[in-house]
Amino acid sequence: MIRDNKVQTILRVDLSLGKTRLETLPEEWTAKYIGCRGVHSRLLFDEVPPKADPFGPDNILYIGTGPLEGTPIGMGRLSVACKSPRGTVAEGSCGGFFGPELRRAGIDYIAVSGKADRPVYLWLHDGEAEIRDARHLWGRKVNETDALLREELSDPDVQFRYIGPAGENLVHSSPIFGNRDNSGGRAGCGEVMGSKKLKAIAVRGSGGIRVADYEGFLKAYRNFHRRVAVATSRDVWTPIWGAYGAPVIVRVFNDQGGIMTRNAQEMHWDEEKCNRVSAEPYLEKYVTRAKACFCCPLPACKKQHAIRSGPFEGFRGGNLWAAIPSIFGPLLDNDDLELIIVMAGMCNQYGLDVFHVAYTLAWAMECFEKGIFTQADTDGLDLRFGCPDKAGLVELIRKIALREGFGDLLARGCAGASKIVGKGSEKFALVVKGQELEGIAHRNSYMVALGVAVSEVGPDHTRWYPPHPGHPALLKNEDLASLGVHLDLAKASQGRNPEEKGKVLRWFTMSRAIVESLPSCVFLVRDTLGFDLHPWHDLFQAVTGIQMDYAEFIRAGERVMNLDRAFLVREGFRRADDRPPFRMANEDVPDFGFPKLDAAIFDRMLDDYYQANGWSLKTSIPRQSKLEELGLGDVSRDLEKCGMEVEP
Amino acid sequence: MKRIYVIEDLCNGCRLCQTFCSSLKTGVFNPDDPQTGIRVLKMPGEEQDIPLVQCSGTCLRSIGGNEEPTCVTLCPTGALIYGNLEFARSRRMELAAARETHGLFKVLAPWKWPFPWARPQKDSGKA
Amino acid sequence: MIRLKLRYLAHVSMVTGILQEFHETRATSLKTLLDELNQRYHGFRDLFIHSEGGGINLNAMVFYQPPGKIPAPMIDLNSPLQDGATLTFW
Repeated sequence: MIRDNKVQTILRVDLSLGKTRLETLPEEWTAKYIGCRGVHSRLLFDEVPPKADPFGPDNILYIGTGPLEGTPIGMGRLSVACKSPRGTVAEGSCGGFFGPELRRAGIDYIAVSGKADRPVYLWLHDGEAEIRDARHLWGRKVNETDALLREELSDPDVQFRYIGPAGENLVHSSPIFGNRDNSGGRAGCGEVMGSKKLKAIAVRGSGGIRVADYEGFLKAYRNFHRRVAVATSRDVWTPIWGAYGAPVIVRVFNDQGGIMTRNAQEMHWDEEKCNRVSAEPYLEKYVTRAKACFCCPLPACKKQHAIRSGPFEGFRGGNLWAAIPSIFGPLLDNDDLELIIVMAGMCNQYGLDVFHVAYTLAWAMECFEKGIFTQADTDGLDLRFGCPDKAGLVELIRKIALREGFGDLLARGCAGASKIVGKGSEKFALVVKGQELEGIAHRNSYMVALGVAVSEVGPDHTRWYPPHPGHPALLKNEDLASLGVHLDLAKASQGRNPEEKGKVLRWFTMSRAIVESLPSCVFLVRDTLGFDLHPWHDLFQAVTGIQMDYAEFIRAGERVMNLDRAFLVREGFRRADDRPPFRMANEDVPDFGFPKLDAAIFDRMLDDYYQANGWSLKTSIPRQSKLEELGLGDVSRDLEKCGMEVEP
Repeated sequence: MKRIYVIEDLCNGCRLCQTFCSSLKTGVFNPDDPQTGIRVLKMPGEEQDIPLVQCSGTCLRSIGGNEEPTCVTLCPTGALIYGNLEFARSRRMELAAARETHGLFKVLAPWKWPFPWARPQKDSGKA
Repeated sequence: MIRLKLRYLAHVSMVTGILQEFHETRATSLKTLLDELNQRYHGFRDLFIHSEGGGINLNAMVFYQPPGKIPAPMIDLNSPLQDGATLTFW
């Protein structure tokens, strides 16, 4: 079978009835929403009814990719989406090799509704879709599931997505995993998959992807490749992210008051400790080999590692992402890199979200030091910052996944746990919209604070990453203006200047939505590609054969942004929910002289953001005029029908 | 005589080689196309990826020019070498020497790393 | 003479062999400091300046942090250096 890239297909799976059906999506969607994340935004809004129970049969779990996947631009990207158990959009993307295999099997999206009455997995191969018994896999860790499925289906090129025990147990924030250490959908896609008793999806395809204009594709590919390859990219992050190791950010951010230390009570850590957990010792002592996603032009964004001696001897794993040393290091006041590797590896093996675990542990440590917990509450664990009981902490991660003992409280996330515990602990649960933060600081970077607060999926830096050009000297304002982006880049780059932040966030969110819809990988938004989307536009046209104005291409990203916001407000979220965590808004940073993120400053940035987007300043609901401009008049009417105040 | 040599432990499994090669004749990306000149075998558990070369080294279409096969030009880590046996041997030795000095060369070849990097003096212990 | 703290990140530390050091110098600008460090760490200057044309490399960065202030990118090679400042090379 040869796929072209204009018309997209969706496999409907109803687990309650045990039935599957392959359909096509309307052809005009490819131009309007592109694919992958963009199409998921449309499907979520259309098909998941307001106030649906996230763990009920009406919530739909979408797993899908877009028209550029299967070509070397797709990077294996896959979007997973559903309604989050926190009520927000839950959309995330992950890499690996599942996306291309799905397209080659003739499927672009899988939409899973209903609930199975016993654990099942889907086996998809070239036009066939089977729902198979997964009781022998239920309870298995991620690596075990991968190995068992591979043995059962006996083909080294079958691709999988699965959940670990955490997703099965509806642990807060569980993502979906694949290729062992890749994951996505930390806003709750793994929980929802678990609630449907869907343990895994396996796919194998034999088809090929034909691009509409191969010569045009090669030319566009060369142009793209020059900007992202280590040898030619004009971007300080390319050699670091793509080869040496992004975890060096623990040293970069420390001087800027950007390292959250001891649950962000301080924003600076001892420099020697930072050096001990950074990419330099990681690369020298623990990395064994490079790993990549499908067709990635970077040599070693992912790496595998092994611990060869000491208390954790024999531990193997991979994908120590940029912020992982920061969240299992200074956030917990732990300078043992091996403990960091093991804690992150435990999260992967049990199917847990690293940010949920790290921030909830940090919250619990602060509770412990303040006397809110004693060892009687923590199953005897000494839970001080500094991690005195390393083995106990590693065991606690297992207990979180299995909801055992003290782990059951932490399995609710730090917001959920603080509601039960009270005693002022809500004030240091570092969450937005019920979801834990990631690794980038707020009080020294107002654009980050804004971006984290407004995101429709809860904190997710990939929605606007990278929040800066490749190098400060690379682009001038005139260059941006000639690309249709009107910004004062100097002001936009000043960390604690609220000016231009709303506008620059709007641009980053819109442009990254396009990249994620093609799909391609936001870690390849390097050099000028964060502001100049022409290379992406050329690739889209060459692959699909759809001719589209550049302005129309950008508008597709804006459409995706507005659909996400429409879903969020329809679920009841408003401006008041787009706020930073309590600590960032109310506590000054003790060193560096950074004040708290003052409400007046934050509100001004929020006004600018909503204004630039054409959303109500009062509620954040998209205005009717904006929705109609985007060809989303139906969305406007739907919101009104739900009793919402849609301003003109 | 020039052919394509493989340094297996530099392969990161990306399959850029296999995917691009499959398209050079037909314009269709299909890594399972039996005519594809290079395939990457993945070991169970994905611990290892092994490129298997099934072509003469005369590329259908050299994307980088100067006859270098497209797979070799695009390989991000330097796991593929194009040349005669002597050239391949010298690259191997270069890699081994580089690995003595820096962990970076576990993940890519020194000839693919475009920045200066130092070699320690032999008797200084650590550079 | 001024005293600077120099920090070397990621692949820069491959050239120096160390992660950071204190350094006393008579260098008055980034350009002269790079020349001086290049004497000690062969290839150091090439990380930051094009060998042809002498412009800054756009795949590297130098952060300059005067005492008590926040680091900021240093783009002008003739920027002066203050006693007690920290420079981060990456």
